Amino acid sequence: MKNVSSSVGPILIVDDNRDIHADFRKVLCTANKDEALLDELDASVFGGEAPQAKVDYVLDSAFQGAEAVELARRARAAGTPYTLAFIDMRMPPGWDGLRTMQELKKVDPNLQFVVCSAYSDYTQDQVCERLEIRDGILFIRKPFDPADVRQIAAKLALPRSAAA
Amino acid sequence: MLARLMEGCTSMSLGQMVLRLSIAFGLLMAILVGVGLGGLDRMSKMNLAIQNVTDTRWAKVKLAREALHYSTVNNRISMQVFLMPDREQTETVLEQRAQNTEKISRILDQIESQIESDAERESFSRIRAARVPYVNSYLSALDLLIKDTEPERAREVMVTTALPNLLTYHKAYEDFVAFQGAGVDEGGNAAEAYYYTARRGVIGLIAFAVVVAAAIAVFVIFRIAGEISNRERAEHDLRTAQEVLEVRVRERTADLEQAQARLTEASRQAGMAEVASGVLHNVGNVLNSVNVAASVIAEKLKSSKVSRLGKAVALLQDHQADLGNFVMSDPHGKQIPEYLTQLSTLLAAENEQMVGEVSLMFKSIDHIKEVIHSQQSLARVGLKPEPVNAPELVDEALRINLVSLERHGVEIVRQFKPCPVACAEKHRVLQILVNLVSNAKKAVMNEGVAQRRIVFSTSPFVIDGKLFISICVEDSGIGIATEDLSRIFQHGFTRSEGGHGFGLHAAAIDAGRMGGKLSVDSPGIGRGATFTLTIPAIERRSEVHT
Repeated sequence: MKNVSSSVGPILIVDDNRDIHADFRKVLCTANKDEALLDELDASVFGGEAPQAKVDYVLDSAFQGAEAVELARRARAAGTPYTLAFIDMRMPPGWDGLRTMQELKKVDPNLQFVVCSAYSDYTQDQVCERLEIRDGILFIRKPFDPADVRQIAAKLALPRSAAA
Repeated sequence: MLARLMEGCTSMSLGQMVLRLSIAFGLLMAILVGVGLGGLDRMSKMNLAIQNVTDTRWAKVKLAREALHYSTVNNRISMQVFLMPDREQTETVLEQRAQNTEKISRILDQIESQIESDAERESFSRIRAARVPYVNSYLSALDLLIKDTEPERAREVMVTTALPNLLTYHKAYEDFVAFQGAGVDEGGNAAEAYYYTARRGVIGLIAFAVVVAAAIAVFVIFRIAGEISNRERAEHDLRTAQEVLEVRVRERTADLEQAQARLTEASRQAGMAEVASGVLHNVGNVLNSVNVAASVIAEKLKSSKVSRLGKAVALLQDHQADLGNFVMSDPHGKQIPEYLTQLSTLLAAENEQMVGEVSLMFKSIDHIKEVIHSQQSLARVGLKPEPVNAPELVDEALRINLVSLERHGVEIVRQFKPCPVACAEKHRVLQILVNLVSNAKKAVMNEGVAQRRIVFSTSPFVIDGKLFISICVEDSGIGIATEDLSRIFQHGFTRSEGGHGFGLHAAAIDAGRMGGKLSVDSPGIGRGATFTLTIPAIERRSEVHT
């Protein structure tokens, strides 16, 4: 039971489209209490080990760039800074993705970005140049492959304390 | 002076030249008039002089003839004396003769006082000279007759001496008269000669003036001709320059038109690109949900708990003989009911979740179909103007943005008045409307906009007897500053970050091409805006389209 709640570093989803937030939740928050209970019963009835509980992620949603910056500031103040942020590029009427990342960087310089957009007004190089990121930045195109998102999350969204 | 007046004609204006020419001709006329008047004056003076000469000579002739007359009378008296027998009567006659002689002497003195030249004096002195012998011979004859009473000798003297002397004497008169006549002729001749000289002078002067005038005229004509040819050349040069300039302007205009056409095409393509990227954005988002839903369903199916039911059933079959005992007392069997309960709950949830995902997927696919449908109608380019129904077009344009409009809770109001069929290129109108919808969405999505509402309305109206249809897109968004209203259709003017400023620009151009108009109105910042697209309607009488 303890494992179920063991969540890794909170992830920030920044997208003006609510459906996308739902998509991220479906992909990254797969843990189910009932399922875990059944797994335990299963092990007890049929013998054998119950499978390792799935890693679950804490997701925060921001629908506008400014909102995202505010959430990041609060998370940092609360001692639980975001490790990873998925950023959409086109988010009318407010800031676009680039501006949002620039502002987020000011609030939390260690925050890692993954651009997740169907259409970008900027190329990958332009974004790196503007953000002064040397080793490139991850771009995933919508529609994304849920497996990619899980891999990225698993790779990048480690708790900072664990990573340190 | 004339020459100086004419100087620099080429470098002065026509007005100045005419002024100078007038002055020159004025001077010339003055000279001619002066010469003419002078000549006339001199000629009249000359006439007077001739008159004087003639008059004085004529007077002398008259005097001479008078003297001759008295002399002739005296001669007759003399003859009578010789014939008269009565001496007393002779005395009276002689008395008269003496008076006449006295008169002749006075006349001669009078003539002598008027003598003007030596030749005249000589002629006159011959009268006096001839008179003396005549008078003497006569007197001696008379003395012989009266005193000596020798009539025979007296008659002899009279005939041989007195009469020839008388003839000489009278001849002297005739000569004098002739001299005077000759003098008059001579004076006349001199006057005439002088007159001719004067006339030659005047004619010469006039001829000179005419020559000068002709010279001036030739000079002026030459200069004017030169000037005219100069001006013609200048005009020709100017015309040539103008033509060259016109050609250049035409070329440049053509260049500009081409550039504008290219720019218009570019903006149109950019406008389409904007529409296309909007479509891509929307489709991408929707497709993301479809993809996630599909993978969720796939995962659910793969890890379905249905297999566990089979496992549980197999276990129960194994203990079929003592099923009651197994379920009641076996440590594993006792957990079976709980296991089955849990399993059925999970399976129900699983089923429900998959039904949810499937319906979500269908919804998303519907959205994509709608977007693609709109895009397909936009992509049909190169169509000719065709009858279009304005409300239908608005709906079609709305469809492309409907997904995001609904998602963001934008209230859509349709107020369609019955409209006649419009005549327009459908894809262009659609493109404009899609742009307007997209702009209105951006305007209402701005931060600080309380009510998100877009009103679409269509209505017919008439301008100058022509029927038009207006399509209004009225949003409750951020509005437009008054000073920006005039710039809003300008190339590159944009209100949104990341916007190109092509959309409205291209839309306005397209509206104009269709014989319509795109206009904007806004009460100001934060008070919404209304874009109105006007397109020409098909007149009822020409509504022959099927």
